[in-house]
Amino acid sequence: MSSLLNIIVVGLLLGGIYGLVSMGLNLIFGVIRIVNFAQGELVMLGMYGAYVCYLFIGLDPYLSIFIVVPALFLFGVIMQRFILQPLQNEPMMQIFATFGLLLLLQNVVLAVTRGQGYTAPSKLSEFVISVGPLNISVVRLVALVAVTAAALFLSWFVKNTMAGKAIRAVTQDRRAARLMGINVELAFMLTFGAGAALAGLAGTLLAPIYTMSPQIGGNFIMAAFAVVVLGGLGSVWGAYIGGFIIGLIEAFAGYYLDPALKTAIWFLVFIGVLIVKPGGLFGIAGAEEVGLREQN
Amino acid sequence: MSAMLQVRDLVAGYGQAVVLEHVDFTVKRGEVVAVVGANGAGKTTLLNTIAGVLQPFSGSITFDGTDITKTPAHALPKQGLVLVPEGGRLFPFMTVEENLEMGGFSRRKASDFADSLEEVMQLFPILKQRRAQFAGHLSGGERQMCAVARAVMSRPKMIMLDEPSVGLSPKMVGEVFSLVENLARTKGITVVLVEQNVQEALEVSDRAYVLDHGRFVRNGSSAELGGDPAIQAAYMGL
Ligand SMILES: Nc1ncnc2c1ncn2[C@@H]1O[C@H](COP(=O)(O)OP(=O)(O)OP(=O)(O)O)[C@@H](O)[C@H]1O
Ligand SMILES: [Mg+2]
Repeated sequence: MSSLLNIIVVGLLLGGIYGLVSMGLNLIFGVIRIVNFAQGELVMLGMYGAYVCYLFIGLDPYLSIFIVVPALFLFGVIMQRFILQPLQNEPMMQIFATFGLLLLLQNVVLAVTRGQGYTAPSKLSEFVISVGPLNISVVRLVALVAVTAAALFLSWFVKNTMAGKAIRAVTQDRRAARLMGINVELAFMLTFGAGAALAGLAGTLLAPIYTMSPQIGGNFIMAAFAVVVLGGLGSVWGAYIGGFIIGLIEAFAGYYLDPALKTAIWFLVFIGVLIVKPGGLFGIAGAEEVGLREQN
Repeated sequence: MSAMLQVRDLVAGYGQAVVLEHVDFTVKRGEVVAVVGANGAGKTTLLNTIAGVLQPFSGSITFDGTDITKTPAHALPKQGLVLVPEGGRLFPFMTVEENLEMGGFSRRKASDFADSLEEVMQLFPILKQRRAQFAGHLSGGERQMCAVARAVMSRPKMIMLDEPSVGLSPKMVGEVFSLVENLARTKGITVVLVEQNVQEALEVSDRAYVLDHGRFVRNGSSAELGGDPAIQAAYMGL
């Protein structure tokens, strides 16, 4: 019984982390309709950003959020404006471009760090909340709280603010959005920036948990793809719940089967869901069609 | 009276394909101007080019005294020019009210929005009952009304309508046309109306242009064109 509870807690905490790294990927896909293969590398940059802040100014990763998140927002805006926007009429090329960026960022970081592993320690790392037989790591709990806050904020934002509604309008019909006076290019830049900022947030929150390596983004992005397709492309709550499903699957598979099988099992579930519900568990019905509409 | 819209020697199309070949087109302040023509004549291309969705190959477009030839589409509603595109193109997963709100996006002030919303609801009573419903769930007629209402939310000086009556029942067609008249006569909005319902379009408009294979082959007062046997035979099935 206590081991079952333990597995669930481990799974949920892991799910929080997966949800967090998926949030930005899903935002970018939902609005701009491109798959950003470099999203994991943006998380990686966030982690190294936290490390740099720690190294040079001795900042705790939780404080470096205030530097790293805006920096990644800016990086995302620049990336969208100067790499993706020139390719706007060639969606395939945009996807290749994000893949190119993945390789570029990995290799630049590899060259600079010479592949040495780092961690950015936080004072919070030492704390563990014990409830009976359960041990809950505080740094992981923070990730879970953060993804919950991010999901709540995003869904509030798109429902209740003019900018958020404009983003939804762009998602549903770009041309009509333009005709309403919405600057679609600007919306894309800001959305990409927000997606990168979310990756930065994920990175800083994960910095105290994982040892960094230039390739670490790859570990997260696999999970993020599973989460996003499972939960429903473009759906905020889909990514949120999807994260927990993937986290729980991993925890159960790791305990009862073999941790090495976790990826295989994610993708089995993932394919199963796609067969039964092609739009993902929480995808908006008919959202696939919107994606196919004439989009310019 | 100065011209509201002045299109000079416009050449436009897609990629290499030229659709509009050197067209000139003028709309005076307060007029209702109809543009009629067969399928594929280039009517939508004309409106999309004026609205900035398509970049012209050459020629110039002046709106209310300002050259808008190179102005991007999203900057035009603020200047008072709005297009209701073919099929309406509502945001299907947004409510009627949210669609209307987007129509007022270019004006931005929340207080303005509330006023416009009341005013528009008055003009379009059906929408009042549907305000919380997804636009994607509206009937064809309601959808078209909502699309026009959304455009009116920007308080335009001129509104361009691309086949607002297409696919509607005769009764709804009548309603759409009387609405167009209403916009022009009571709100003072200048209207460009693209239509295949030639007879009705000529009835509500002051002047009309006939577009054929990317060129204007006729233009004149709507009464005169409506009485012309050649036009009747070619476009009105008389
Ligand atoms: N996106 C496009 N790419 C290439 N050619 C196009 C495109 N849209 C329209 N055309 C072509 O341009 C010509 C004019 O089309 P347009 O849509 O302007 O006609 P229309 O008068 O609006 O017709 P309809 O009454 O059917 O709406 C047609 O020959 C059409 O095939
Ligand atoms: Mg047309």
